[in-house]
Amino acid sequence: MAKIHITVRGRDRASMADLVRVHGVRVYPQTLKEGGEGFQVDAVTDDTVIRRLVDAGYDVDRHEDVDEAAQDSLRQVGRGNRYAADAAAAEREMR
Amino acid sequence: MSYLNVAEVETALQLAARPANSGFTKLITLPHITWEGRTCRAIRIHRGETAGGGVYLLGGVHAREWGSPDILINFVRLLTDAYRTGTGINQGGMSLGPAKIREIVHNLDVVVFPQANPDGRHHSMTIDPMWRKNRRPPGLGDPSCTVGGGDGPGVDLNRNYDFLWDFPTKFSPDAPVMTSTDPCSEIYRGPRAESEPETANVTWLLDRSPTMSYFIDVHSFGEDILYNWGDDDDQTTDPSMSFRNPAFDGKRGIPDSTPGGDKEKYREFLPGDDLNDVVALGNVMRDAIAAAHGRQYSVKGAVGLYPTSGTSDDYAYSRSFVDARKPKVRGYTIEWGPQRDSIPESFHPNYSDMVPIIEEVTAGLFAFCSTVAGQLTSPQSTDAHTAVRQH
Repeated sequence: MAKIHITVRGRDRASMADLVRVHGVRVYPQTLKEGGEGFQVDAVTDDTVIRRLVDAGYDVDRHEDVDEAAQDSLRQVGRGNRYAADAAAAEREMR
Repeated sequence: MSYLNVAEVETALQLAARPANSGFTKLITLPHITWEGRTCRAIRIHRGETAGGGVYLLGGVHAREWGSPDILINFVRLLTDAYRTGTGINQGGMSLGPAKIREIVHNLDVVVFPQANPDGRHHSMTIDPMWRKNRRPPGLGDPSCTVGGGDGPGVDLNRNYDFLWDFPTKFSPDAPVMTSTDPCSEIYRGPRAESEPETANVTWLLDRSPTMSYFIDVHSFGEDILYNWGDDDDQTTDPSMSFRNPAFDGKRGIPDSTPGGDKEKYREFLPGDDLNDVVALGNVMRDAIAAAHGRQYSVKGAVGLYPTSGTSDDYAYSRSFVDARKPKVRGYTIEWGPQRDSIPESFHPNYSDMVPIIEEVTAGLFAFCSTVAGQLTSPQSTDAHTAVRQH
């Protein structure tokens, strides 16, 4: 089942805590916002849990399919070994 | 330009300890082989017999936080090159002259373990970019986990340390603790404390670093500099109210700011001098990071609404409370980089966006080490006042 990045809004701080202790949602604590604009946190979960959260009274904004979006990142990984030549030179230096 | 792959991190580390640097570096082969058979290495940077203090830099614990080993390799390369050539360092708007570099290498034992979870990093960089845990295979009787999108068996290494690891006993049943007994969970704590070879390597290095005084675990994201503790709010006045005291089992993990407050009034003991110190040095890192490219990191205690257990920084700091013969090692977690629109991009930004983050965090780490090394030359308090937090 696809994993979706969501933003969850609740009525108060206790409802934000319930995301973890009642619903077992994998939230990202560093995204927690609270105060004048209300309470919200980002999380990654699947459609079943999203439906359960909506039924429990949370507002849920859906963002990207995380797995799909992440595949793009693989192009950012280095190929081969860019230090190999320097390491070989150091090896020669040692002899 | 691209992220360093697993082999490159290892080669870069070995290169930093090459013969030309042998007078002040030592490559350390760690004793515990990973689940997929990889050997991990760290580097110790110091010139002289004994150091006055030490800084332990850890990275690559969470597999998908690709930039952490790149940051630490950049730090190691700059420090070793500058010391060997008698030059200084510039990172963004931060610079250190040759004398400051010598002060770091002569006064401090700098231990860098940049790639603590090579199996996980390799998996994340080749198959599942959202992978966070190590690659422990499922055990007999474990549930069958769905696989992909970051899901699967494995242990969250930063929930596996021996600090309040047994959270169902140690924390309040009402605490929204960010750890799990479910082997399929992304934050699975493991079958027992320090069960994982990767965790055991981190503690092995701590055990063999008697001069160590600070521990910094590099993670992403959030632009935060977090200091101990992660299990609950802190207080500076009651040493008996601590993780060691079983009278408080079942009462931890409810910060005072929770609606209705914390009925048990539990707060973790943090000596006032230590609080002063971690805040002052956290601010040093924050200011150096801001000077590099203008980003504003927050310095704060690690606990928020969602407490943690079994984390590296709390374990490192807890050791001297458990055994007074062990050195006091104050702990930090740096969460580099801002949140971006997409969660994957927050963990592994386009490399062109990662470059300034590498520079700013490197600048912060150099400022930190330089300040600690300078205090060893001319000891002085970072703050004239001792902080007091009542519980």
